[in-house]
Amino acid sequence: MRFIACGASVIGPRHLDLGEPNQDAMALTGCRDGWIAAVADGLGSRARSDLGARRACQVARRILRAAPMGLDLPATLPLFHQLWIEAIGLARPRDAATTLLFARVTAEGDLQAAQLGDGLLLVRCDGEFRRVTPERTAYGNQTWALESTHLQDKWSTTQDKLAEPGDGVVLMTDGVADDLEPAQLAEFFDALYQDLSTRNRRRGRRWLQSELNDWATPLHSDDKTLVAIFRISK
Amino acid sequence: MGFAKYQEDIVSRYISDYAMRTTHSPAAPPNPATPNMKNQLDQRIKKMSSLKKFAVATPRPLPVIVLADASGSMGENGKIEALNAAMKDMVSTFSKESRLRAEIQVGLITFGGKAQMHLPLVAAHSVSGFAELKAEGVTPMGAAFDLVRQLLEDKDRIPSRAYRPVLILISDGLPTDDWEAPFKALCDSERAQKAARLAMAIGPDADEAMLRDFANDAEAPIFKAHNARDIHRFFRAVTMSVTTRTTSQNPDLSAAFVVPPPDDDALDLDFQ
Repeated sequence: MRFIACGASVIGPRHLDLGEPNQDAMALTGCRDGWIAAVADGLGSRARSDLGARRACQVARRILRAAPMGLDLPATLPLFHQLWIEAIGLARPRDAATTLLFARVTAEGDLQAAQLGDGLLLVRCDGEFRRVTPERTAYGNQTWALESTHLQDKWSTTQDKLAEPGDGVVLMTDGVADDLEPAQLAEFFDALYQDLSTRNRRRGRRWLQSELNDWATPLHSDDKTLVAIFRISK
Repeated sequence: MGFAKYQEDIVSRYISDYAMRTTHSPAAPPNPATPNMKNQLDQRIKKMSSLKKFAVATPRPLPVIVLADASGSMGENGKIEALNAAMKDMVSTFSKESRLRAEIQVGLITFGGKAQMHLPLVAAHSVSGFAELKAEGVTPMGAAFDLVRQLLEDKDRIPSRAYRPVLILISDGLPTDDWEAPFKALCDSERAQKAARLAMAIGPDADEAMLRDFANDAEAPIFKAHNARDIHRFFRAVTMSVTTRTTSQNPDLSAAFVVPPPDDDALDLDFQ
């Protein structure tokens, strides 16, 4: 079974103007013939959100790398929060608050993924496209996040199998997610697959970076991060 | 490098090289393309999809909705004239602001005689010929609350990607209809309750307790306008706060609400 995995994170025009760091973070790494991906979006209003986002991705990678095959994802979520609190060190959780989305795909194509806060988690399993992220009830940038308290009921989780070529998982922060036409998410997913499956990871990342930097929505301002893992063969 | 990475690189390098050859080969054909070649090229271009076509073509909106008392009492002491001028200034400033990272949209709901959408929620730069308010009738504030709640709950009018809306309530008197139930519905609505709410009491007859309950922005407690200049000062503070939000790091944060100090003008009479 073969996969292609690709990701990119670009700083948004607003942070660029202000000379601020990218408050998104991402991790994408191979693991036992499978893949682990994470994206995080530090809350713009918080002083150490860039640190919080980076640490969240690192913690997700560390936990998922060590986790056994039959991981009970919901039961493990408190560990993500606990290790994140430890990882931010002396920073206050409030100052480092961040969203977090992560996914693990095993060599057999088993998928486990979870999301806390804004952004989009999209999957296609057995040829069937699905949006895991619940519909937002409020407005942009009002989000749940990793903070002082673990919010078990605010996480969304999914478990499935990438059974066919074209199946995959896509994670993105709200800088991308909020500017996508909601009715075209399946087509967007497919276009990503079509484009990334014709490039190696380095070229894929460069292409993705240029797409995110040259974003089409007028007055777009946010940092943008997207990671995708697709199955490309039987 | 793990096995998966290695394997992926081998596979994708091959596919990528293949894609490069097929993409580049039609670029300089020795002869004009035959219809068959053209079809193949079209198909390849179609396949080389860009993510841009999935991006929304409109900026993220930041709605600013004014609920303005236009009852008969607003016709006294130049209040309605001051309100008209202040509204025009605000819309004009929004439309000229060039540093924005959002599209400020302005809506105006009036309650004088009846509650109505005086100006539908539109981009500030596209507001032209703002129809002046006329003061008449009673004060159906509850009906105005119903209207604004419906607007805030409408995801087609205010999409989920919009920045947190700002509601501004302006009144110089007591509501004359049942306002409490509509106000509770506004405060209980999952979506509408998340808007930032500011309030201005004009003159001594305004229902300050109710306006105080309406305001939910810790940065901006109820503002009391004693004269026409105060109405302008309040709107200037709203304008500054909103433009600061749309040019700042996080447009969803409440920016500091700073009402500019009054300038000394003995000719400006207090509202009675």
